[in-house]
Amino acid sequence: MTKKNNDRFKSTTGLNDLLFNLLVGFVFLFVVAFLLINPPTKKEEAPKKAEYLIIIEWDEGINDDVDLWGQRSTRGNSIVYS
Amino acid sequence: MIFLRWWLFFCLTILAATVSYYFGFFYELYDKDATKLSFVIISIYFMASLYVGKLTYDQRSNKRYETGMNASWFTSEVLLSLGMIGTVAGFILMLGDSFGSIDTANPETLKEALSSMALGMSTALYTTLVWLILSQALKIQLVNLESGAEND
Repeated sequence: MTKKNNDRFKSTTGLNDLLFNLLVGFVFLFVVAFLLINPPTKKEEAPKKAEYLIIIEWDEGINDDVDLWGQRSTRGNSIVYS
Repeated sequence: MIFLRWWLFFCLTILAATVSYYFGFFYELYDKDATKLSFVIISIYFMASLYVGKLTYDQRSNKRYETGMNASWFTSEVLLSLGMIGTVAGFILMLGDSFGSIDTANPETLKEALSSMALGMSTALYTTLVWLILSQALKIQLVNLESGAEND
């Protein structure tokens, strides 16, 4: 192998590439850590005291009036939600 | 003799490629390398490898031996540079579009951003892996050719 040929093994592009990959890895880890610093907080929900949950749903476009009536079996009082 | 060594090495390369294909390496490469530069590197390697084989076969009679050698060494450097380009492209992919839609209160957007970043990172690493292997394989063939030329 001549001296001229030895110059062929002195390229530093490979080293630069590997260093760049290291940089990519560290940036990735940094971003992941940065995103996890402030974990998304859950909004506190109001405690539900109701034992029964009655839901009524209707299409937005209907012209009818929709009411919800409830009646206890023992006293007979009616409650209306409209 | 050096042509037989080249032939042995070439057959081993084909065998390695077949085994990689059997284990699904190329499919994974296609999925994980967003730029597809790895396949460009692989194509250039095979063409250069065949050219080196031709040089090895008729090195004594080939008048353009020196030019061919220089071109082959240059090709091995080109593989390396393509790998570097893949790394930079992966870096850009990783940082480019990932952060635009991040909402820190929404875990789904974080998940999307991280998967997008992971694609860029895998692009950078896979192109590096491919050029590392193939550039060295090409250089081994060239050193074999040069050693044969010096012995003559």
